[in-house]
Amino acid sequence: MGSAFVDLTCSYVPVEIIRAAGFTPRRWLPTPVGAGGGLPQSLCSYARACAAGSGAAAVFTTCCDGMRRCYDLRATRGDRVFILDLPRTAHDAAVTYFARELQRLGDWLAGLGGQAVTPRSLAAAVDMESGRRQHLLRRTTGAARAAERYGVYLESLATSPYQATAYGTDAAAPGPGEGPPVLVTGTCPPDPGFVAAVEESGLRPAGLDFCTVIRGFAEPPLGEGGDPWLALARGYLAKPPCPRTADRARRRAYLEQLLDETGARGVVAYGFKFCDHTAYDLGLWRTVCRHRGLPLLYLEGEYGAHAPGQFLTRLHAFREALEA
Amino acid sequence: MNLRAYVSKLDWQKHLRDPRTYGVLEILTYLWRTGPLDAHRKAAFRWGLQLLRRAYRRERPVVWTNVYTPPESIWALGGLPFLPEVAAAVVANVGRAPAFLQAAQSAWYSTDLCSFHRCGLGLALADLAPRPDLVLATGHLCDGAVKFLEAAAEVYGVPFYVLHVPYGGGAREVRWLADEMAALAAELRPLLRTDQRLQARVARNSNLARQYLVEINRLRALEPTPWSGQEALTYVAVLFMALGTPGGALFYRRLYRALLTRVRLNRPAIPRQRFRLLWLHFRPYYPGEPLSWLERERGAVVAFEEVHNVTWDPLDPHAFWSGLAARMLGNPLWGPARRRAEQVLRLVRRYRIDGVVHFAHWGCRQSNGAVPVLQSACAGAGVPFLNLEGDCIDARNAGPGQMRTRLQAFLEVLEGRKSGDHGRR
Repeated sequence: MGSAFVDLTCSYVPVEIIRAAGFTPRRWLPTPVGAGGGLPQSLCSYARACAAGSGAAAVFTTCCDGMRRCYDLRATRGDRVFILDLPRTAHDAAVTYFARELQRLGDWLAGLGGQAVTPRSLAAAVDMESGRRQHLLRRTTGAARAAERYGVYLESLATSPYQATAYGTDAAAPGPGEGPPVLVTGTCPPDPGFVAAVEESGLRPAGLDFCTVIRGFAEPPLGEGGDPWLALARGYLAKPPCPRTADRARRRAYLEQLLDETGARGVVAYGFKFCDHTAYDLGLWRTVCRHRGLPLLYLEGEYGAHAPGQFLTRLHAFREALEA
Repeated sequence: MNLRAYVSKLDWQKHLRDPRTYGVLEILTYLWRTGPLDAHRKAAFRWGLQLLRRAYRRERPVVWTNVYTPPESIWALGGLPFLPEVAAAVVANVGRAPAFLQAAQSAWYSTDLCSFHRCGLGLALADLAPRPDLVLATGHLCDGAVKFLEAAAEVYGVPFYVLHVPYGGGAREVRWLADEMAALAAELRPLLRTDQRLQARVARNSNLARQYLVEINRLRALEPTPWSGQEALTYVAVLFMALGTPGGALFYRRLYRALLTRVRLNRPAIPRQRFRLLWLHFRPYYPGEPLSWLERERGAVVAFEEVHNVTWDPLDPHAFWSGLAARMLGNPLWGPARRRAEQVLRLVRRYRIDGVVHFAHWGCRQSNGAVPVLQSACAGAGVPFLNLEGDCIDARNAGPGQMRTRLQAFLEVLEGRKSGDHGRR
């Protein structure tokens, strides 16, 4: 039982709880379904793809309407699915509420045949996951190519345990890129081919702001002592905010910080068609970039789809604009 | 200068922002002679004009919010609720939506987003709507509402508040949400200059309106139904904005009397009623929409629409926030889609429905995403179901001919069932 997978569809699901219950957390990155999957075409391609289960139990969050409906569909089919209600803010009442939600998740996992989650097992899982994050960061720090680094991140999330091929791969490649540094940002996980296309066009991805990279691997600030559920809730709600959060000042401060840290000279935003969070986040990016005098390029694709030639053309043009 | 030339030279935007415009129109409503069958229209119209006059005059702080936020929460705090989604429907109704949709598009808001929200943002960008003093979003029903209101708050540079509505609907969640609402009310009090006594008055008006709405819904179960879906889905604005006010209670009282008169005189709003439909989601609001054709020419009357179902208990002024919290959490459109599907089947039985039409508004992920569950529930119960794709606001996004063809085909299915002795539920 201990090795059974639990699929996750959002980086706000604390993997520590799943680990403490004796399961193996795995980011669900299913095969794209195209027009199939059971959900309407007007929902984002990632939500539609997630409608196809792997056979493992799955944890959804209320992160977006598409995912809520994906959960509904799978629940109707009788799949073992759970939905975690995710607050949009990180104030004290939201933390208390989310802590209770996390306990509910722990109970559900126990009901699936897992171990009861105790403060002790939770503390051990927190240490274990922290070690894995540190290990992964060390492995990828030297990687010169962002696409390679991104591939390692994705693999480490989607295959489990983390020490699978991702850890065995020497991600380091010789020489850093020479092109203008850009920040590549978006909501959902793009195909590694997209990051490769950014590099291929002569741009240097100085930061990858996706829920499967920076926002997914940020160490939740858990603090010391106290109620572990509350600590975990506070830690996860305080991690780098995703476009879904409703604290624009905090999100903006995070974007500004990313731009400062990476020294990006431009921003490449990528989103899936019909992703409302990306569409609204663009407005914020536009404000931030205008304020800083940075150019912004928005590209829209589909989950699991390789970057089309048109992307390369636009990325090349963007690089030329940056170099002009 | 003739009248047409004079009108074309008017600075409409200036007049639309001028509270005196609404004051003059309010006075003109006194010339509107109504009978027992349409007095409710005058009540709604006058109430709307009064709200706009007060909002543009900034008589009280204006609070922008989304549909399904109980308006009582804002009235009780002394604010004036303004719903840009409702304003978008009004703008679409007079054929002016494309200009505002274009304004939003020019500011990088994707055409894939809900057109209620894009049009609302366009109104904000054009600075045409009453300016908010603060913006309050409730996080249930849809993500788009929260994000678009957040963007609107930024356009106006006013405080933005979001109320997290728990996904579950148990007693614990009701308590948590009630506490959150009470805490938010305490925080907003200095901004909204509230008066504690308002709460009792708002609860009384809300309960009165609710009482009439329950009776109205009872009348709508009769055959033939006394009200048309086209009109019902127009006056849904009263439900979203006026509950808790004397104007809201007056509207529902007059509507009840109008419908009762129709029943007594056997004068239904749609004379020939061949089929009874249940309508899910909203209707298209632009001119030339297909609902009036469906009801008047094809005799397929919308006997009921889910939005008007009374799923909440009367408000207790002493447990005001708990009552509103329970109402939000009890909304079948929130939470798992199976809750909505269960309500649909209940309504099908109660209103003896022949077929269910879900209007798949472009960009509405929460409602469209629930279609597989709704469809499956209806199929399981043997109820014909049509998912009608279109757009409530943007006429360019919906081919009227195509919609009519699909509706016509659906009616043929219903016809076939009737002639095949399937009978009614």
